[in-house]
Amino acid sequence: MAPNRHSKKLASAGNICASFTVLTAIWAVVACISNSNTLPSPLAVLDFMVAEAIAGPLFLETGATLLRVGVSLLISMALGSAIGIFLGLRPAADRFFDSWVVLFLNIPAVVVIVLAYVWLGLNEFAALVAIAVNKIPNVVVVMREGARSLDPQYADMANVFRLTIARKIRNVILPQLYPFVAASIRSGFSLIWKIVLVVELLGRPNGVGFQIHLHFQLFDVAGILGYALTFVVVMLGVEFFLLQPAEQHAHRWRMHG
Amino acid sequence: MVEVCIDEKTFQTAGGAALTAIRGLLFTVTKGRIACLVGPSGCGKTTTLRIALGLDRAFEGYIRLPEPMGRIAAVFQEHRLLPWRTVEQNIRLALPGELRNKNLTALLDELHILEVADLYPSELSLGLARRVALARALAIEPSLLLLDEPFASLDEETASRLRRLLLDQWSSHKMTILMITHDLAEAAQLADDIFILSERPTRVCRTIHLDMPRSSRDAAAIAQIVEDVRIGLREAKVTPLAQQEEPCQTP
Repeated sequence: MAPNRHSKKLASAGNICASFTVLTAIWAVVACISNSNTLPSPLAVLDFMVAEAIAGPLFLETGATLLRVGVSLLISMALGSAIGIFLGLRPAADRFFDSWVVLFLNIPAVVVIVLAYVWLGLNEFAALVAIAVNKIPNVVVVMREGARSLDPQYADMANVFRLTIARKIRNVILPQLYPFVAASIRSGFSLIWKIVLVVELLGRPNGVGFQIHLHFQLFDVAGILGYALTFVVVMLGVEFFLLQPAEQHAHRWRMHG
Repeated sequence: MVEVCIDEKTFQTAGGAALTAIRGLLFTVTKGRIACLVGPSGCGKTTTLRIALGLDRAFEGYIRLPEPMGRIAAVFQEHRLLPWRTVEQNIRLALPGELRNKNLTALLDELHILEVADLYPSELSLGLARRVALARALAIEPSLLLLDEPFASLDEETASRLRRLLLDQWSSHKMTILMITHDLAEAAQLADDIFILSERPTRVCRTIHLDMPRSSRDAAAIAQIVEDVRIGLREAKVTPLAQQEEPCQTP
């Protein structure tokens, strides 16, 4: 079983490498043919990234954005889970607040960001509020579904054996909610970092979004692509080295039988 | 003494109609005795057990438990082991604070589940999972144990070994046991009291007290008891539903 899984992993890694190589090749060919300032070759972008990493603020800016992503994800998960679980367990409250959730789901991200800056000022707090308000409704929807799907049979078992609240949450409730938490974290990551960039672009003096704004004003496409790609790589790293191993660890009981 | 009195228990069907599952059900399990509930399938035995366990409070009547109440344990029809916890973790989870560091080896060994203690429930056969569920209930050393067909769908050899084990634990720990079963021979073998339930709306239509000691219940004696219970069950079917019982006295 283990060597088989290992070789499968290798094969899928090879597959990913091949597909990215083809994509880069297409990009290189198109850049070569168009021979335009607005589409630098992959090599030019790589050059920019290396130079920016050595002499420029690449890591600092990426770090600032990553920090915003992390903090706002934490806030959104905490508040969104609390609201979602509450609505999932209280059908009456859910019927009343459902339209609010739908409303917030459908407010465009840019509107929330602009209003947050207008009402709260051009500061970090407003930025985090804007990101959280964008993400919370998604977390609410997913966690509400999770709370609805809690199995009453396990709750009965916990009640009969008089489990303390802490033991019940840790052993009975959280493991059932875990797939939903994982789903909202993963979808949260891809959603939040895009919103963070807009937030930075509109009103922050640092971060990847700010740099993209800067390079946009200079019409420096290599800079824009360089920063964007760096951050994509960072997010892929988080996905492969943090989220996926965590998920596999939490699901180890499913691999048997 | 455990006193169960359910004046009425009604369910709302999906169509919105009210369905009376239980009406005028009253029985008492004396401390330290084993009582079995038998009755036609779908007659509300499991509902009765859930009410006795305090899991269902939407009924008219009362449940009176002995004072001071010791620990209550249950073995459900489905094993209800947490799939994300190993066998041992599942059993330990149920242990109350004062027993948390209890040595489980002897119990697990007696139930022949010592070697699967580190497996997850999905890796167990149904018979093993049922034994684990029984171990979880016995591990907390309950003073009242409720069992819902705990040995159903097990092979006879395993079932009878588990019955013996249950009796051992019962006699060494002075438990009171209330057990639902479909297996009349099982009831005849284990019970001090057999309550025969009628079809819906459920009530006790006959009680059989067995005073013969378990050790002297041989094959012939068990066959005789089973025959008695069968007669009781047939009576349960023909008893007119209109016959109304006095509602039980609310304390």
